[in-house]
Amino acid sequence: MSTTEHGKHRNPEAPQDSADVVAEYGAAAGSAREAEHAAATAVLEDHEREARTPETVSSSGPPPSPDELRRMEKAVARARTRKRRRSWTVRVLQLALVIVILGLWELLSRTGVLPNADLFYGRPSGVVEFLWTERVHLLGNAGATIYAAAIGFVTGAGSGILVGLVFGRFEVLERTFDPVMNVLASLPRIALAPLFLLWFGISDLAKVVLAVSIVFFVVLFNTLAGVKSVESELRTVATLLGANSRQVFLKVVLPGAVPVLFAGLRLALMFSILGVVGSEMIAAKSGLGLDVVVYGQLLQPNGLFAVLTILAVVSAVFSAVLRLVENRILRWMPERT
Amino acid sequence: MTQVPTMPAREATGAAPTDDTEANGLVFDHVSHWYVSDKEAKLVVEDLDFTVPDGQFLAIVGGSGCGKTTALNMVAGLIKPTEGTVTARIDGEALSLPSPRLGYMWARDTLLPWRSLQRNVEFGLEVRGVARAKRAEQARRYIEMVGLKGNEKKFPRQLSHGMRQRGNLARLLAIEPGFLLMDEPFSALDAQTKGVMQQEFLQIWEQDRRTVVYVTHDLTEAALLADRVLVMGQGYLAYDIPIPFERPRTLDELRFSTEFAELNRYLYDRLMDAQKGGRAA
Repeated sequence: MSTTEHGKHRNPEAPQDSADVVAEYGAAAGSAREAEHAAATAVLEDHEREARTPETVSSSGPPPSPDELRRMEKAVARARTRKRRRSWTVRVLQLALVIVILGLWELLSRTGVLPNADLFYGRPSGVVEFLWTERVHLLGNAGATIYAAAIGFVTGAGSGILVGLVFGRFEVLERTFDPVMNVLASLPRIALAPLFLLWFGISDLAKVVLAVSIVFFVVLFNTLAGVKSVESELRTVATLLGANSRQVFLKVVLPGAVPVLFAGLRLALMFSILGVVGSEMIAAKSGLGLDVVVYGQLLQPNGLFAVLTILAVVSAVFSAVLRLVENRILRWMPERT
Repeated sequence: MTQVPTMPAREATGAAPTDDTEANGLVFDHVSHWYVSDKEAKLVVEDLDFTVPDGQFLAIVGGSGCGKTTALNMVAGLIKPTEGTVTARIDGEALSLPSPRLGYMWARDTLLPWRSLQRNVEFGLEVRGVARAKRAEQARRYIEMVGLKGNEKKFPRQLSHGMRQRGNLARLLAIEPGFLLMDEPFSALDAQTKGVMQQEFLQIWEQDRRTVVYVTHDLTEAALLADRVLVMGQGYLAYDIPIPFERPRTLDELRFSTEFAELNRYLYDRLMDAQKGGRAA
C-alpha cells in the first residue's frame, strides 16, 4: 500500500527524467518540440520496449520523421490514458469497499442483527453525530494527545538519531551498550507507564517520557541499521578518493543511512502516538486515551469509534507530512515499485 | 672512513636503492600475501616481482581467484603485503599507501547515489578542500571529457549503466591521479558500450599517459589497451608479454587485424598454460 503511494508520488517526475536520459542518446534538447519528442521516446521505451528496435533511440540513427514522431506521440498518449484509467478504477473500487463496509455496519446495527448496538457496537451515523456534538471536547483532548506525541516524537527521534550516529561512528561504544540496549528495548514499554506516572505525576511529562522510551529505541536501531546498510565499497571509494574518516562518515555514511532511518521514523511516529495514548489510558487529566477509557466504561461505542476516527486521521496526517519530507530528501532514490 | 659531504641522505641511511626504485612508477619487490582466517592460511599471491615504468599501461590477466585483484589492491593500499614491498613513486617520491594520488576504479558503479553527477565528480576535490567554484569548473571539464556534458544535475539512478561508468571515470580523472588502478572497469557493460568506452578511455589516456594497472579477465581487452600484459597463474606471475601495437590505437581496426588475432591467440595459449601451472622459462 505504502509503496504504491510512493510510486505515484514520484511518477510525475518520471517523464522529465527519462526525457533527460534520451537527450543523452543524442535527441537534441532545445526546442519544446524536440523535448517532447525526447519525452515521447522515453515513455515509449518504457511501454513498448519489445516492439521497438534499439536503433530508434540510439545516437547513431537519423532523427525520426514527422510521421514517426506523430506515431510515437499517439502511442504515448495511449499508454498514459491506459495508466490513468487503471488508477481511477482502483480509486473507485477502494471507495466502494469502504461504503459497503460502513453501510453493512449501519444496516446490521439498525435492524438489530447486532443486539443492543447502541451499547456495544455503535453505528457510523452515530459516530458522525457524536463527533459533531462533542467536537469541542474531542478537539481539546486531541490537541493534548497530539502535543504530547509530537514532543515525544521529536525528542525520542532526535536523541535516537544522535545516539545511533555516535554508536555507528564508534563501534566500541555500540558494542559496550549493546546488551543494556537490547534488554531495555525488549521490555514492553507500556508496562513502564505506572513507573513514569509515579515519577512525574499525572502530567504531560509522564506521557511524553513513555512515548520517548519507545521512539528512542526504534529510531536508534534503525539509525544503526542505516549506518550499516551503507555499502563498504562506497566507504572504500571515498577513502581512496582522499576522504578522511570524518569525511567518510559525514559525506558517505550519514547520507547513505537516511533511507533506512526514514523507515524507522515512520514507525516511530506511530509509536509515539501509541505511547501517549497508552499512558493516557492508564492515567491522565486529558487526552484521547482518557476518552477511550471513559467511553468504554460508559458503554458509548459511538464515542469510542469517534476517538478512533480522530486517531486514524491524526496518524494519517502525520505520516503524510513525513512522506512529503521524505520524498523531498530522498529524491535520489530509485522509484520503489 | 670519511663520508663525502655531498652524498645524498638516503645513501647515508644505508637504503641503497637501485635505479629502478628511484624512478617514477611502480615496483613489486618480492611480494607475497597470505590470506588468514581462523580456519586456514592461504597463499594468495607468491613472490610477485616486477616493475612498471612510469607511463606504462599494464594489464594483469588471469582466471578468477588467481590473485590479480589482490595485486591491484596492494597497490591501492587496501591490502598490506605480508612479505615484500609495493612501492609507487610519483615525482621521485614514494607514496604512502593508500594514497589519494592513486585513482581506483571498480567494475561496479560506485557513484554515491544521493549526489548528482556533478557533485559525485567533485567529491575527491571537495574532500581535498578545493574551493567550490574551482572544483565545480574542474568537474565540468572532466564530465565533458567523458562525454556526459548536460547530465551534471542527474542522480546516478537517472543514468544508464554505461553513463555511470563514465561518471566513475570522470570522478577518477578529476583528482588527477598519478596512477590509475582499474579492476575490470568495463566488465559489467554490454559488449557495444564496452567497446565504445574502451576506445574513449584509451583516447583520454593517450593524451597524458599516466601509469595504469588494469586488471581484467578479458584477454582481448588486455591486448587492445595495454602496453604489456602480465599473465597470472594461481597466485604467481606466469608470463610477462609486451604488446607491440603502436599508439594511438584505433581499436575497431586493431581488433580485426591479423597481427592482433595472432597475438590474441598467443595470449590465449599462455593463459591456458598458466592455468595448468605453466610459467615462463
